[in-house]
Amino acid sequence: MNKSIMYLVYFTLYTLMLLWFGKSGFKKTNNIRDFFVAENSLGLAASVFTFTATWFSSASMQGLTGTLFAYGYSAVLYSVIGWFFGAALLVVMADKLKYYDILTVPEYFKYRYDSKYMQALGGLVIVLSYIFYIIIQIRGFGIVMSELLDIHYSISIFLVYLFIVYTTFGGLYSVAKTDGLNFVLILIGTVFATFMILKDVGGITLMHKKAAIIATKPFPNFPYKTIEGGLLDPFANGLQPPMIMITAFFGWGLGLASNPQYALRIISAKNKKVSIKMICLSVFILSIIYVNIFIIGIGSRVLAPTVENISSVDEIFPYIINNVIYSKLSGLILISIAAAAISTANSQLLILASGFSYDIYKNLINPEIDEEKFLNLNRLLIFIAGTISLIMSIKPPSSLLVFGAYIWGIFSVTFLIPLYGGLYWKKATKEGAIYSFVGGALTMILFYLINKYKYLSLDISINRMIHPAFPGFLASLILFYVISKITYKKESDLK
Amino acid sequence: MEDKMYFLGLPFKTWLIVGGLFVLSVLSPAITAIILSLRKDSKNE
Repeated sequence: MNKSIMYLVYFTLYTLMLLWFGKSGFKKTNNIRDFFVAENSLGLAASVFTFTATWFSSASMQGLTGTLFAYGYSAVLYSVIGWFFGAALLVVMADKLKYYDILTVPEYFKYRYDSKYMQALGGLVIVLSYIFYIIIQIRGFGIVMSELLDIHYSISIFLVYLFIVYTTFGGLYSVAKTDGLNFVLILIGTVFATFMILKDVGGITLMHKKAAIIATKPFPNFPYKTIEGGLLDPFANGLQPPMIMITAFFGWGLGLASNPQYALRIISAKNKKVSIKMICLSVFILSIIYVNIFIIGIGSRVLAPTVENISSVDEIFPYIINNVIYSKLSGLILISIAAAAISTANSQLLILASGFSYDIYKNLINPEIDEEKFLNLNRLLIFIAGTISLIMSIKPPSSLLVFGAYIWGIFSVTFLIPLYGGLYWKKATKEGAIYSFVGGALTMILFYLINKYKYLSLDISINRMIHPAFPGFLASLILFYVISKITYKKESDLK
Repeated sequence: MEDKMYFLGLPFKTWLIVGGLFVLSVLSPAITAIILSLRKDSKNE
C-alpha cells in the first residue's frame, strides 16, 4: 500500500476512535464536579491510565528523545530522574490532600489560608503557565501531523481543534476515556519503535559501541558538536555540567510535585488508597516506557549521526520513523507520538479553563452562576485558550524539554511551598503563603533574565549556570517560613 | 580505570550514576508510601 494512503488510514482510524471515546464522556457530565474531577470516582485502572497518559507528553516523546539524540544519557539526569523523585512527593501530598473536598488546587489555598484572593492568584498562575505549556503539546502534535499527512507545520497545528478541544469539552470523563486509548497507543508505539531501532542497530551492546565513537553535530544548526564518548557519559563530557543538572530538579522535579495536573488526579481518584497506588504503579509503568525512549534516542543517533534536514531536537523522532526506519508500522508509531501530545494537552486545557472559570470568575465575580451556564463557559474558555496557544505555537520554542522545565519551574516556586507547607505545618499563615508565592515567582523571573542575558550574551562558562527555579524555590521557602513565623506569633499574641 | 569497564557497551560510571539514580527514582514513590504507612502504624500503636 502507498505510504500516504497507509498514513491516512491510520489517521482516520485514530480520529474516529478518539471521537467515539471522547463522546462517551459527554453523557456522564451533568455538573461541575463531573466536569472537573469526574465526581471523585475514578478507580485504579482509570486513574493509572489518565495519570500516565497525561504525564507522558510531547516533552517526553519528542523532547526527551531528541535531547537523548543530541546529548546522550545526560538527558536522563536532566529530566526523568527528577520527575520520578517529584512523584514521590506526590505520595506525600496525596496522604493529606484527600481530606479536603475541593475541585481545584487553588481552592485548597482558599480553604487552608482562608483567602479567596489566594485561590484567584493560583488560578492566574495556572492560566498563564498552561497557555505556554500547551504550546509544547501543539508544537509536538504539529510536527508529527506534518510528517504523517505531508502538510506544512503551520497548517497541521490547526488539526488540534479536531482532537484536543473536542476531547476536553466532555470534561474529565472524556479526558480519562481518551487517555486510556492514548496510553495504549503510546505503549505500543514506543515498544514497536524500540524493536525496529534495535533490529537496525544490531542490539544494545553494538548500539552503545557505535554511539561511543560518534563525534558529529546532531544536525547542522545545533550549537555543539558531540565529543567522542559524550553520548554515553552522564554529563555529556562537559556539555551538560552537574550544576545545571542538579538545579534543574528544582524546576522539573519539584514542579511536577506541585503541578495541578497531577494533584487533580489525586483529587479525582475515588479514595486515598487508590490515589497512592495510582502514583506508584504509574511511575513503574512509565519507567518501562522511558527505557524504550532511551533506546530510541541513542539508537536513532547511531542510525543517523547527523540529520541534515531538521532544525530542532523535537523533530528527530518523527523524522527517524518516517525516513530512516520506515515500515508498515511507522504510521502507528507516528500516531502514538500524536497521542502523547493530545493526552496531555486535553488535561491541561481542562485545568486551564478551571483556573479562570472556577478560581477567578466564580470565586471573585459570580459565585451564584448557574451550572449549565458554567459548563458552557468552561467549553468556551477551552476553545479560546486552545486558540491562543495555537497562535503562539506558530513560532514555537527551540526545545520542548528546556522550555518545559521553565514552565514546571513556575509551579515549583509558587505552588509547592504553600501547598506542602499548608498540609504539613500548622503555623503556616496566609501572609507567609502570599509572600512565598509572589517572592518565588519574582526571583525565578530575575534569575531567568540573568541566565538569558548575562551568561549567554557575555559567554560566561556554562558550568556556572544554575536553573532559575533553584533560587526561586529558596526564596519561596525562606519567605514562607520567616513571614509565617512572624505573622503566626502576632496572631497568637493578639488572641 | 572505572571508565574502562563496560556492561552492554555502556561504561560502569554511567550505569552507576544514571542507572542507579533511575532505579532509585522509580522506587521512590513506593518507598515513600511504605514509610508513610509505617509511620501511621507506629503512631496508632
